[in-house]
Amino acid sequence: MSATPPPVPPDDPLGRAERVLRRLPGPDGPCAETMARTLAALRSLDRANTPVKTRRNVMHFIMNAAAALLAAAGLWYAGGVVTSESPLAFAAVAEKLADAHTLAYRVEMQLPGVKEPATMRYLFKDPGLLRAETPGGPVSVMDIKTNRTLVLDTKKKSAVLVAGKAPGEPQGGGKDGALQVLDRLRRLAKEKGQPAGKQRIGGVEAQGFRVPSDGPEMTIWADPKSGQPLKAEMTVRVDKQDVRYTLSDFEIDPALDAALFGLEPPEGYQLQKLDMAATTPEEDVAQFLGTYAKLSGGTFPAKLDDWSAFDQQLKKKKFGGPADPEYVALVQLTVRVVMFTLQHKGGYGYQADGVKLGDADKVLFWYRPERAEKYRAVFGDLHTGEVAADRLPKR
Amino acid sequence: MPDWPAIVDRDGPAAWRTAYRLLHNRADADECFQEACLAAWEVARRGPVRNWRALLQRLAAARAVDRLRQRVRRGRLEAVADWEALRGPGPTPLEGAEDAELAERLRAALARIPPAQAEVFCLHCLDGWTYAEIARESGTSTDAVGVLLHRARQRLRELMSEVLGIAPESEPRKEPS
Repeated sequence: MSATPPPVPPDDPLGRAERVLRRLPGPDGPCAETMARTLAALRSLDRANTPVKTRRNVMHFIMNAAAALLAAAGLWYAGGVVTSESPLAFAAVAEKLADAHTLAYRVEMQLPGVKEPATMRYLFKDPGLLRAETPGGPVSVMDIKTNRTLVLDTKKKSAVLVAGKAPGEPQGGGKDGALQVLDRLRRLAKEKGQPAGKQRIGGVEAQGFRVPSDGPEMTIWADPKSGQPLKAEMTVRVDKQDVRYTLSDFEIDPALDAALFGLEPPEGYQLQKLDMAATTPEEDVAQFLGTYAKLSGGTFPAKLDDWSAFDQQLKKKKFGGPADPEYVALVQLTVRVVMFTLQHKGGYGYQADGVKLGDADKVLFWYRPERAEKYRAVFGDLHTGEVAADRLPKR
Repeated sequence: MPDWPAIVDRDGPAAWRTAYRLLHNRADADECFQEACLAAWEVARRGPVRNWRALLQRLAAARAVDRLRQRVRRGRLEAVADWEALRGPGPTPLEGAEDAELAERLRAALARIPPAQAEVFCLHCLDGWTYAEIARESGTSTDAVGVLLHRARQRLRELMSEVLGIAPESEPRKEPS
C-alpha cells in the first residue's frame, strides 16, 4: 500500500485529528498470545473444513433457555438435487446458501402433548456468530470461535457471559455444530435429495425436496423461480417422542447489524461471568449424574438418556431465571451430555443396576475415545478413570 | 491451503495497527484482528487472494468501524483510551491532551457516518491507500471511492464542528446512499 499520506490543511480540526491518528504511538502489532490464538483458530477452521460424513445434530429442548443455547448445535439440514421437474430451483437455493455471509430464519418446535409450539428466531453471521431470540424470552448470542455465549434475560435485565465450550461442540476438539450447519449449507450443491412434489406456501407454488441422511430426514420447500427456501420440515425422535421442527421466514444475506452479535449486554443489564472449564465426556457425565443423584436422594437414572426422568428431578430445584449462572451452567452441561449420547448412540455403556452412589469400584458409565486403547469410565462414587475392557459390566 | 503463519506474521501487524488506530484499545484491536483473519479465511475459501495485507487491513478497518459504532450506541466512547500509549517525547502535555480529545472526536464522528464512508476514510486518510488501491480491493471504481471520501470528509467536518462549536461549512447536507 502507498505510504504517502494525503495533504491536509494545516488548521483544519479534521486534518489535525487525522494527523494524530496516523501518528498514534503504540505497539507495532498484536502480542504473541494474540497471534498464537489467531493461528490456532485458523488451523482449526482448516482442519474442520475437511470433508466429514454427515452427522446428526439433534437437540432436545428440555427448557426454554436450553432451546436458545442449543440453537448453534445444528437445527438446519439442507440438501437437494436438481430434478427433472425444476432443474434450476434447488441449484439456485444451493448457490444462495453457499455464498451467504448471513442467514436468518424462524423455527417452530412442536413437542407431543404440548399445545403451543416453541418459537425462536435464529440469526447467523460469518464467521461463527449466532443469535437466538425467543419472543418475550431470553436471547442468546454465541461466538463460536472464542467459545463465548451471552445469555440475556430481557425481563429481569440480567445477563450471563459464559466462556467455555459452546453447546454442540463435539468432544475432542472437532468442528462445532454451528459451523457444521453453515458448512453444510455451503456444500448443498454436492448433496442429493428426492423430489417431494409441490406445496402452496404464502402464495407461491413451492417445489419440495426430500433429503435423506443418516439422521432425521428433512423436506425443503423452495420457490422454483427465485430459489429462495421457504420452509423446511423435519421430525426428530427424541426420548421415544417425535419432535417436529418447522423452519420458515428465511432471509439469505440480510443486513444484520454487528450489534446483534455483540457479547456485551445492553445498558442497564446486570452482568455475571461464568467460566466453563474444558471437560471430557466422562467428566460431563459424572457431573450430570451427580446432579441427578443429589436431587433424587442418591439414585441414578435407569438410562443415561432418560431426559424426562432428569426433567422430573430438576423440577425440585429453584433457579433465578434463564440468566441465573447455575441454570446456564446446568443447561450447558445437559446439552453436552445430550449431544454426546446422540452422537455416540451405541458407542457408550451405562449400567445403573446394582450401583449406588458411593460405589467406588463399580463402573456406571463407559466409552472408548477415538484412537484410544482403553475405556474411560465413571464409577459409582462419580470419580472418573481408565478401565480395561474385561472390567466392563455386561450390557 | 494458505500459509497462515507466514501471512499472519508478515501482514497481520499492519491490519492490527489499522484496528488499533481506530479503537485505541489493545483488547478491542486484538478481537478485530482475529475476526479479520477469520473473515480472510472465508474469502480464501472462495478463491485465491492476491494481496493478503490489503485484504486483512480492509477487513480490520470494517470491523473496527463496527466496534466504534457499538461504542457510540452504548455511550461508552470516552472510556477506552489507551492513555499509556500517548506518553513519550512529542507534544507537550497540554497539546497531547488536545490531540487526544480531537482523536476521540474523530472516532466518535466516524462511528456516525455510513460504514462504507468510514472505511474508505480510514484506508485513505489513516492508512495511506490511494483511490486506485481502495477501488481495486473493494471491487469498485476510483470515482466511487472519491465520492465516498468526499461525503465522508464533509460529514466528518460537520460532526466535528458541532462538537467544537465552530460554524460548519455552508454546503447542503446530503444523506449518502
